[in-house]
Amino acid sequence: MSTHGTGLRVEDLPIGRSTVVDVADTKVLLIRRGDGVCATSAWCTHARTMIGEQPVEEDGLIECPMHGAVFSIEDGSLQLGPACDPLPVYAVSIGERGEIAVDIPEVAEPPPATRPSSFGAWQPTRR
Amino acid sequence: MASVETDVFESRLADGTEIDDLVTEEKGISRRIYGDPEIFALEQERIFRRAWVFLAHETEFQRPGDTITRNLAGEPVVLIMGDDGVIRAFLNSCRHRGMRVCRADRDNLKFMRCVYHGWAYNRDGTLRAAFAEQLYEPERLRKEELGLIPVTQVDSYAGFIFGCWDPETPPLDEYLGDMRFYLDLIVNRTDDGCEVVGVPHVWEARCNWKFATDNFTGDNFHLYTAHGSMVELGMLPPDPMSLSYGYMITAEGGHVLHIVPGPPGFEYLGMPKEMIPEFKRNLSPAQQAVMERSTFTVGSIFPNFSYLHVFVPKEQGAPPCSFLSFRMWEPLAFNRTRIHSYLIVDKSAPADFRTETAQAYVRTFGPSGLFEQDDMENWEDCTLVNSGQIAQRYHLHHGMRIGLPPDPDFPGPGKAYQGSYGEQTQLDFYAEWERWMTAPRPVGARKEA
Repeated sequence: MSTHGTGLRVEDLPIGRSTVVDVADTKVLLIRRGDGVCATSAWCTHARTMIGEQPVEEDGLIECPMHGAVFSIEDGSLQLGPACDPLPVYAVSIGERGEIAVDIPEVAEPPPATRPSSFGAWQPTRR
Repeated sequence: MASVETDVFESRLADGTEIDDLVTEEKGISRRIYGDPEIFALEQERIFRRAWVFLAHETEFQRPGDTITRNLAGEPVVLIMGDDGVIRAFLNSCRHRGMRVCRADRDNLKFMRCVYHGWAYNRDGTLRAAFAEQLYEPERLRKEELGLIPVTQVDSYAGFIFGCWDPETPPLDEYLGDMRFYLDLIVNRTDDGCEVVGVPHVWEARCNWKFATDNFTGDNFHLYTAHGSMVELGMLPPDPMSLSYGYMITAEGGHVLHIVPGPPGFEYLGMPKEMIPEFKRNLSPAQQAVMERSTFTVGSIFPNFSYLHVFVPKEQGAPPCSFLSFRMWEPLAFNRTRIHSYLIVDKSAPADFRTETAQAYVRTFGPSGLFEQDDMENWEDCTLVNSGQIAQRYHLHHGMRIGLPPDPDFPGPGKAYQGSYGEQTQLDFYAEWERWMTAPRPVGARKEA
């Protein structure tokens, strides 16, 4: 686990909308919440779809576009839908001038949901 | 480009009947227009895929993500308010396999998600996610080109949103033309405009859609027969000529209405007296002159959007109260129509009037309304009988008070014929129907794009 700056300040984040940022090779979702900021993984734990930018209302819920899994941005808990695992959440620290930093585990990025098989499976043709 | 279409344009039905022979002043109106699947299919092609058709009202959308599903010319559309507050309309169909992406009548959605393979669209219609995107070879899945297909033209008047599939159809303002003068009397007369109360009643009737429009061209003279029991209940004045006064009005474009004066005290369409200064503020002197003298008005915007602003007792023995209902007659088949009936009220109307107007509407119109049920009985029976092969040998009769000179002194636009018992506005509606059915391009389209 190590702390990484995001290059963003609190004032850079829109109110009522999530933002995707790359931190240490990890896609992180940042959401302004009251005076603070919440950070979660931007990949849905279900089909590894990018949850991405979207409106976030007072209820503090984000929805995966693909199958509709709904997570709390506060603790990543699954509120509705098909996922089994909660969304990873990352601790946030805010500097004196509002700089946002997040704690990212060493292996944060989840594996893809659908990996082509290693033996004889179809592979996309590269042109 | 258009000339190719003109060359193949068919002005006859399969049996050789000329379409412009279906509606004539001499012979009357062919029953086939109500009871023939071939004509229904042509109506979808030549009227509903070209004309401006009502979809929904802006006040049905309160916050981003609110969606309403409708059909436009028999094809599903979804209307959705974006995060920018703009209400957009799309063909309700996933670009992957064609499923509807919204399947509820109304909802609030972050994403319009196809339930087949999970393709998901943002509130602005752009494609957000496809399943297993990493399995496509690079550049194969061009998401920026795979948004939902927008309805060709979308516009609104006084909050009423219309859609149109044809790029050549004139803009909505031009299409409504003179009818805007009369619409303003009922939906553009107060500072903040009007709003939908609740959600529309929606039900289906086994009738041709034109019987509904025909009735709402301002057919006042069916009242004392079809709704005769209402006289016994004291909900209609006993004199059968009492609703024969006023005017039949044909605005341009096949939009028609009747407007009827009442006894003193019933002016300004029976609306609460305290609203009159607001009406005067928002209407032109000519509009005020019409509204001041009027108690009720019924009309239709071509092809299938009608209204009634009537003044009725909400129950036996009660004083009359006015209400405004708009209806969209959605054609499902030659003998099946889905009716969408809205109660509309001025946002600034007093609270007690809002309660009374809702009660007056729901007791008299809507699927369980005392008047509405009488109408369904007649429209369904007319459709059933006019579908018969023997019946279709004989035309229907429209001839009451037609060909009158318009009153040059009437303050409003269009042709205003004195007296509101008559069939001129019905014939004018059918003439417009025939104009669209025999035109190779939308009526009013610019000569050459």
